[in-house]
Amino acid sequence: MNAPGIHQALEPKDFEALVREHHRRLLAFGLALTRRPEVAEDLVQDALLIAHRDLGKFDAQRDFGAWVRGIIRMKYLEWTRSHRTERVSEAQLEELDARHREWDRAAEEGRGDALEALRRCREGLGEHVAETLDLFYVDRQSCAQIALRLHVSEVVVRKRLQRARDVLGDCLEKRLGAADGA
Amino acid sequence: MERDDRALDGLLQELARAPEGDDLFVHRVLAKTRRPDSRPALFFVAAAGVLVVLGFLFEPAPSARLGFARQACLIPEAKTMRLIGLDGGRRLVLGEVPMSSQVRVPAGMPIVLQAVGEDGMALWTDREVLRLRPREVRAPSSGPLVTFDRKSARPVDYGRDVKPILDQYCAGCHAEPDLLALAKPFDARHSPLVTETHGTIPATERRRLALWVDLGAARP
Repeated sequence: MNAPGIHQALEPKDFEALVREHHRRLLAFGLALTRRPEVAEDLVQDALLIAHRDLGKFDAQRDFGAWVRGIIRMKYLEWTRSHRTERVSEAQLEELDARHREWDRAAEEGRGDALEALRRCREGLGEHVAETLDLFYVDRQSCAQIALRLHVSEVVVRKRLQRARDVLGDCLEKRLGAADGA
Repeated sequence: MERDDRALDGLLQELARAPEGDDLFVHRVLAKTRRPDSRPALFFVAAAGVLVVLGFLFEPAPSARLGFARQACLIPEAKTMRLIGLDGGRRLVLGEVPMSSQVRVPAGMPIVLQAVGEDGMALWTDREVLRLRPREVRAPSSGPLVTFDRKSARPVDYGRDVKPILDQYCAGCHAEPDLLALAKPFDARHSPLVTETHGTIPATERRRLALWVDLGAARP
């Protein structure tokens, strides 16, 4: 047993377990930043490889998710610089990180996994809203394409998407027992 | 507290990216963290090899799922989607389904999508060759699920399927190289070989000719 304040290094097998536990939320973090799956996968993969290389520097008693998100943020800034892409503001980054800290804590405290909770919340959406959501996120169609396909205006598509996000956000908070401001 | 839509947006994108909780990403990352020369790594490679062999023996081939909502939206005159499998130099017809369907296809197999009109000829051929990962789900729809596997794929062969038709109906007046020059690969609809025949080629044979052209008009 380690005395308080003594650095406790992470074992490789622990790393594997942590990657399995955190990777989907880390990918969601990367996707929230880049909105491009292939870029998000690359960023998270690079961050995890750096984390693996620096395992000796990481204190196992600290928050693994927060540590890797910090590396992802660094890689994201590098990526925006090299691709001359507009970046998410520092305030938005902080807000995003705070929300992920909540989700990590919910998983740690046994209140539920954010992705699983969201999947269940999505099952409760109305038919038209769910269809619009799938066309946008799964088929990656633009609002104009969706409007054309569903024979509705773009405004209706945007309203449906916003409504879906509102409903899902409320549902997610209820399911995970959100600890805002904690 | 004002809700952070960006965070929720990321979660929704991740759900869409891997709806079945696919953890191939983890395998890829962990594989990169293992040293190739260490004994444990060799053990894992050997174990993985054994599992793959056992998997082939006792499990159905890994598959992926694919829908065509986007193409159905963009090519409204298309009636069916044809799936062309690439096998070395050969092109195989994996199958053809209504645009509203979704299909289960062999994972890892290079596939080209082709939207087909009511007349059985291609309207659009995808420039991208798809190669889906095991259990990958791309653009799923709520339509009926049809399974295509390598066994059901049928090759279209110039010597067997096309040359006999040309020999019987065209060779009397035209030389073979001249006839073949009239085929525009992947575009039977605009190939004089299919559309400007002056002889009486029966409909079945004409469809076979069109299919060979739409598959790229490959010949030995």
